[in-house]
Amino acid sequence: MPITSLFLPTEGLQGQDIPSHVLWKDVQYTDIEVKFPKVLELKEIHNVSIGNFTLSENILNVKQVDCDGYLGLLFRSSRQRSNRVDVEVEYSFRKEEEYMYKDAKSIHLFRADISFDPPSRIKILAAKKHMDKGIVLKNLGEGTGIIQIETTSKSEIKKSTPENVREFFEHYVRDLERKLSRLKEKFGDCSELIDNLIDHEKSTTLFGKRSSEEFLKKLFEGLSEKMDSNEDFAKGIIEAYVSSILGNIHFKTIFEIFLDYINSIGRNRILLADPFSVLRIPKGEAILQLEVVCTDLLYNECSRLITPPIEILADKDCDIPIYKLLKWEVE
Amino acid sequence: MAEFLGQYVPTPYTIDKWLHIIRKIHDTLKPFDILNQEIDIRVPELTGEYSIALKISHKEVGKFFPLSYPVASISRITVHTLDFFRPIENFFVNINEDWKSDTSKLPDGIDKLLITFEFKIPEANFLNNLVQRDRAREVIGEELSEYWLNAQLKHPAVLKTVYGRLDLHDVPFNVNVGVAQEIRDIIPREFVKSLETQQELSKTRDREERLRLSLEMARQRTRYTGREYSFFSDMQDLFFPTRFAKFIKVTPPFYYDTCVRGRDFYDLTFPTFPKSMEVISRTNLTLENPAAHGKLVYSKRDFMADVKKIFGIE
Repeated sequence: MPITSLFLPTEGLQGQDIPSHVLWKDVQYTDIEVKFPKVLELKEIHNVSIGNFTLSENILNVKQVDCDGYLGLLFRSSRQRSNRVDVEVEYSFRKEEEYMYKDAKSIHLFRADISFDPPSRIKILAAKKHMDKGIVLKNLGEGTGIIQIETTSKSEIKKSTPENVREFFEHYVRDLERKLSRLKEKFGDCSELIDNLIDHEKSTTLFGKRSSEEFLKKLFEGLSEKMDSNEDFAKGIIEAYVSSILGNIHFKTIFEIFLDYINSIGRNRILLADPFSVLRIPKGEAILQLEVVCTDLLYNECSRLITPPIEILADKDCDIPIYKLLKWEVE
Repeated sequence: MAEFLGQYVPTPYTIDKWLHIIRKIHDTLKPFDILNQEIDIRVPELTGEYSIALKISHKEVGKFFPLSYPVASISRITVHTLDFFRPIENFFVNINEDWKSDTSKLPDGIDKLLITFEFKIPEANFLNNLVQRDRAREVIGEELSEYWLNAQLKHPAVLKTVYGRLDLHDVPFNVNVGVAQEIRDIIPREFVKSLETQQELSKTRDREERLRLSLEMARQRTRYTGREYSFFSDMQDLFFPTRFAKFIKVTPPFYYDTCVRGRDFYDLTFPTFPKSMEVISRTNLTLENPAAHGKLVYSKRDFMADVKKIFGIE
């Protein structure tokens, strides 16, 4: 059977678009049948006109392609209860009712799955920045989880940004806004996208607000799409960021920057979105409650967890970086 | 039912939007006998070539060629005789953003011409309208990370029917190759600890605290102490395209182009080492080969070996 290529990726992130195609030469057929699992939803068909295919449940039946020898498909995968699933797609060519060719391809779909185990009480020796226990964070899944940690309104201990970091952020965002705004003159069709990027940088970097998942997804997908298709625009965006950072680097030492970098990487594919922030801990007893939001590399929110109240006992007032409270555990 | 199924078929009008340059040319030359035509797109430069072979008579030339071509996006037009492939100089001249033909330049006895129009593509998004491009966003793999790459034409029929042949050159694929976990796992904890202590020492004004941290620093003296900047510098070298390229292999029909430091939007304020490297590979598509798939393989094992070498870890 002269099927020259049958492609389905072997793995993908849950929520990602999954492409597939079949190429063939000199095949006589009456229809092509593609059976796909419920995890996948058909998003697009390439090289087939309306009227030349039917879709019933999860079976696609193609009577005729436009240009012979090629069928392109695009599936949308969805997030599953299980952090890893293996599914199969079946492709067959039929002549009348007889199967002339049949093959199946399988795909492994995975995602991050963050869980934590907080202790009920943590004792802190401020001088040594020593804690007797930590909040255990684990990634039970296979995908990367980017975690953002906030203190809740019930928490007596609040999150704060150190003075030199705040100063760095203020100057950095001001420069970035100026440089990104200049790009609007050259790339007029991206004005709205650039404005949204500036708003996002201001609200997250300066005011510690988290943009909604929908906003983030739309912004970063739009940005990635533009940057992928226009190399000049991509260079402009990267230059704006890099020069804004480098222009204000004097607010931080190279050691600090390196430590921020290292401390933002957990174990087993967990990245900490904000390793700069500290917890303002008063002397004596105080309650700490954290909200941990995890997103994946597709900017989809994977989980949102709230710790039970944790009693913190410190021997004096101190600022403790949030990452110091975390203990990484590998499955 | 048709309306319901229509949602799965992307609309080709988005292609026509950028193909309007070609359509204008095609419509002007339609009265001639068109022997062949092809479109050649160079994706990185956002430029294209539309070549059209015509059979002409001098009577038709007089009638149709004096028309101007008011297409500002055309950067160059070349004309060749098809029989002997000789160039005909100055057949088209650019006057005030209009291309005007001078039929007096056409030699006698010529009845077949090949005209090539070089044009700029005005719509930056044209590639996404034409090609479905997907790649692995993240992969599982211990020593090797294999990122799949796939490109497929969305509307081959539209292009085939109207414009004959289409070649898309150097279609780009940007893959973010994660490197953060390897760096985090290899950089010795004693090196990080000693930096933390030095950092705290530089910040505190408390005399007792300074003394305590100085003692701790003395205790923490390691083979890395005093050479921190050279480690940073050696690590930075790993992320130069020429160095990082040796950890990457791209399988045909895709090929490696270059790499740059990753642009992960969640951590742009880390100007030290990247968390990922953005590797750009490319492929070509034609109407005869409307789909292509391949692999980008990143050798974690070799990258980790180089990081270990920097820190003198066996």
